[in-house]
Amino acid sequence: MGLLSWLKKPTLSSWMDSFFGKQKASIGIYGPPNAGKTTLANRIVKDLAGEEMGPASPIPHETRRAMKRADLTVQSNGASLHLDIVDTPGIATKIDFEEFVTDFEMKDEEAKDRAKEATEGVIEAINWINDCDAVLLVMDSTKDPFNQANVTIIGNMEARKLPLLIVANKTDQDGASPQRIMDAFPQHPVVQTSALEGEGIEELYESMIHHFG
Amino acid sequence: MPHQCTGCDTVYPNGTEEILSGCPECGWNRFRYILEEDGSDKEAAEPAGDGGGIIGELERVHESGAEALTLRDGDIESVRVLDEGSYEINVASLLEKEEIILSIGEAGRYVVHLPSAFREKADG
Ligand SMILES: Nc1nc2c(ncn2[C@@H]2O[C@H](COP(=O)(O)OP(=O)(O)O)[C@@H](O)[C@H]2O)c(=O)[nH]1
Ligand SMILES: [Mg+2]
Repeated sequence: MGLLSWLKKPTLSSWMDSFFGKQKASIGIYGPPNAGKTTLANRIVKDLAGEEMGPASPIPHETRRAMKRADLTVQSNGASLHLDIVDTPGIATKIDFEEFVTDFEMKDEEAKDRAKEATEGVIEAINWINDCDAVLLVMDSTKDPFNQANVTIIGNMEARKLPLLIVANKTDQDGASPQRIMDAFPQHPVVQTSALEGEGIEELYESMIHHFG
Repeated sequence: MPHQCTGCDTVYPNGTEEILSGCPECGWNRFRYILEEDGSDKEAAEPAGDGGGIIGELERVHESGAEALTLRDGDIESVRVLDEGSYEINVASLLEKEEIILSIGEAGRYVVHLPSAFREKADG
């Protein structure tokens, strides 16, 4: 069952079609809650199109629907890449409304709705992988990258042969260790950014063109 | 492909040269691809799918008591509802399996969501 369904998922050849046929890459921004996915998506969309994508928030699971911004062009050093950006809800293994009540003083009712929507968001995010040609996997450099969700996602994307670029975000913070991310996933390219301060974004574009273009 | 400079808004009908060398008007080097039919209403970010609501939907099925199933051998729960507002998510199962299996409460009642229905919903 698992194997059979994988055969229907994007293969290397359909990925090549998307670049040499459509000439456009659909790039999914994935990662755990609060890693800075929306902040990064906003940074990119603002930079390329002068607009924002959606609200970022210190409260986890702010993004509970996948958001798409189509038809952007990124260029760097004489090369360019035409792309769609999809910002996705954070992927987590446990979501509890109590967290919103105790840490963010939310009312029970609102917190329960948020938890339910966040859980649905995880499903929607995972469902969207089928439509992605490449993935930016965003991680918070101050956190231990070696957790079940990250390892599972990376393993699955490798099996799907989806080009993957890891973004080690929040490098501006004390205790940030992009090196820990590089050591945890040495088989994948890692770009260091501060989406909040706009650091490393040019390097990110270069890497995207190099690995996805 | 027509491109518009995001610095000064000048439109270049072809744009391939300008996006590589920078905008001749203002020197900026970011361009937006313009859809030939209509660039206007495609600019805002939009929900990528029309998915959502699946847990609520499964919970309603559960409450109706109608379609609660028991697990077969080899079935793996995708989402466990521990209590209202408290969820445990099996990321590996969601990534690998087409169907979504929801288990609710201690009693372990199960509701299965078939993939075809979900894809239809999610793709709008
Ligand atoms: N210090 C710092 N904070 C960041 C950075 N990127 C995002 N944040 C903050 O982290 C929180 C979560 O960001 P958000 O983009 O909503 O994360 P998402 O859940 O992955 O979409 C917000 O308070 C952001 O301002 C960064 O590079 N540095
Ligand atoms: Mg977000």
